[in-house]
Amino acid sequence: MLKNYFKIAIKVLLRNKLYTFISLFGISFTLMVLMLASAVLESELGAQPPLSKRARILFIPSFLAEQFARETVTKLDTTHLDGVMKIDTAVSTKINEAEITSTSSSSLAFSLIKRKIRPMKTPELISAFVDYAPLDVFPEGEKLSLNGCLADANYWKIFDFTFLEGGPFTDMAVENQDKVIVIQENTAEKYFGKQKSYLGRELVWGMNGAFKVVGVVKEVNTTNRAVKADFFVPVSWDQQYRSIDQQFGNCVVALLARDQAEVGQMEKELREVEATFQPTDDFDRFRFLEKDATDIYAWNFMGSQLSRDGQAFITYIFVALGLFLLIPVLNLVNLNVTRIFERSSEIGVRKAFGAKSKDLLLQFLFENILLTLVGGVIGAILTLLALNLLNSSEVFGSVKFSFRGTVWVISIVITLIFGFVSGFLPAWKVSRTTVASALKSGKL
Amino acid sequence: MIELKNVSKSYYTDVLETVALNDISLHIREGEFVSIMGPSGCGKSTLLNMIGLLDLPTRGEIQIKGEQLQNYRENELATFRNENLGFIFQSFHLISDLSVIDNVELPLLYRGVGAADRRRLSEEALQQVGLMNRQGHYPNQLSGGQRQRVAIARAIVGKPTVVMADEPTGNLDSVLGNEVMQLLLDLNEREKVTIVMVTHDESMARKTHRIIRLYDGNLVN
Repeated sequence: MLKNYFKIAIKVLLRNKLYTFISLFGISFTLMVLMLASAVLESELGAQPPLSKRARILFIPSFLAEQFARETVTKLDTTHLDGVMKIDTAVSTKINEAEITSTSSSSLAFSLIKRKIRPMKTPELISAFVDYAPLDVFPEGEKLSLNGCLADANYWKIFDFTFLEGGPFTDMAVENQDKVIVIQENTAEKYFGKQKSYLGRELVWGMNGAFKVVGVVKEVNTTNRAVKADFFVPVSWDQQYRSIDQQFGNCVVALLARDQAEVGQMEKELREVEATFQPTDDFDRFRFLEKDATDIYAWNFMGSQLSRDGQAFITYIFVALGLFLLIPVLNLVNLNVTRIFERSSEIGVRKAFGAKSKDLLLQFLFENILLTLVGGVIGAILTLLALNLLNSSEVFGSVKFSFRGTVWVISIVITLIFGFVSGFLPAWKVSRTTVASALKSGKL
Repeated sequence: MIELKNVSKSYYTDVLETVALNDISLHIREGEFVSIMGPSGCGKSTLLNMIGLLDLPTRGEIQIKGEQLQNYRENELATFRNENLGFIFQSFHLISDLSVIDNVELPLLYRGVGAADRRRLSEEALQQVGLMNRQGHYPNQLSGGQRQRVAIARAIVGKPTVVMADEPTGNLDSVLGNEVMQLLLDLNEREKVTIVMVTHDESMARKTHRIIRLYDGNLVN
């Protein structure tokens, strides 16, 4: 029986070449889009080193100071003294919190972090780092533009970089302003040339002198700027490190919650910290603009410094993806339904000669499975080709996307469900009609 | 063999009831070759569909080989048809994706007969209709007469006790029509298969044992 199903499925698919082509194209293209989208999402938004703990991390990339509108109120009082009327003028300033006249926002200063963030209770770890420190070096006379990250010791505990050699620098190295450097594997190769080991070699950082390599980390597979640096040096090398009483600086903060559920408590504590700020001459209110890793990613595409748009971004992606895929899916369903109704006469003949509904449903299921699997294999090949193209074109910089077997299986299952629904329901409906009426309609 | 008692069939639309068969009672003996005649739209095919269990009556009883069938469930009817009935249609109704031999095998497939036996029995049936050399062909590679002979082979391959033929010669010229008719007569003669045939052709009908005439859904006697 199975051999028979297989035989007729092949015949049916070969007979209607256009239908088969459209179906296969639809299935494989849909699969490819799904797989590419999930590869990008997984790479950018998935929990993988060095952002394995991303769900517990809250970044504070910026700090906002706001000034409320001031209204000057002049009061005139008239007094009578000895029959002479006098006018007494009183001028007062009223603050209108509903209207913000000026704002200023920037990264945070170390002194602010030391005073206000480090004393926080809810985070398990707090790291302050500078994620933008451009440096041009000239190994062998060629210009090499690098971006450095000035990090503290906690940085290495929050972000789980993969060390190929050596290890991170310590609190002590940060405090002592040691000339140590952790370098990314590709940068090491570009700067030093390909070597068996880079430990102990020295990179000259402009006026600061030569920094000794203490660790080599693997290239990271994300565009998140917090972890995407070519080299890392102690944060104490930042010029503002020892300054006092500043609000704005170059620093980004990463807070690590003890578990995911405590992220909300960290946010709550940040609000409490904000309340401890005293209004200054220029500004009345201060706010930390914290974001999670997804918000940071979304910020590249939409929203602003002020808003947190990660969830909205993901919703938009899925809605867009859903709408995009709805068209081929509906077409496939429609094609399938029409095709089965077209074959109602065949169903009638088979029933007349003793086929039960079960036999017919199995036959159509078999055809759909075969079509889906062939489409799935083509889709997988297309995905591999597209990923290859995407990775070699470096549209996303050095980020490399990989083929996800699980996504493929899930997509195949989804396609099978669509095939099942679009093939099974009409087949079931036709198989329930009387043989006489099935025979009258459709063609063989 | 076949017993119809007060069988009626009506089709309903929202406002209208169309009576296709009105209170038909008839008896067909084992080994009998009966033809059903009447003008277009008189209910011939509907009657054949009732006897062949391809459609269910609105009222009345149908008995074949002593079994009361009007209350059978869909799957039970499928099994009964598979084991006892064969069908020949005016427009052949061969499955174009299947080769001649695969078309003929169809009833045996649903009976669960093994592949080797299916092949052997189908070859025998094709031999009987003189199409042994065409078993690998596809329906669209055959002439009308050849297609109808394949359909006859399919109808008889499962050794049914009754064969229903709905205008089997209707789409054929007189020479091919006579050939097909001869095959049916031989089948009835030699294998004692009961045959119920709907036809428009008076000369064909006269070759059968008995003619049942229908007019407007009623028997005319």
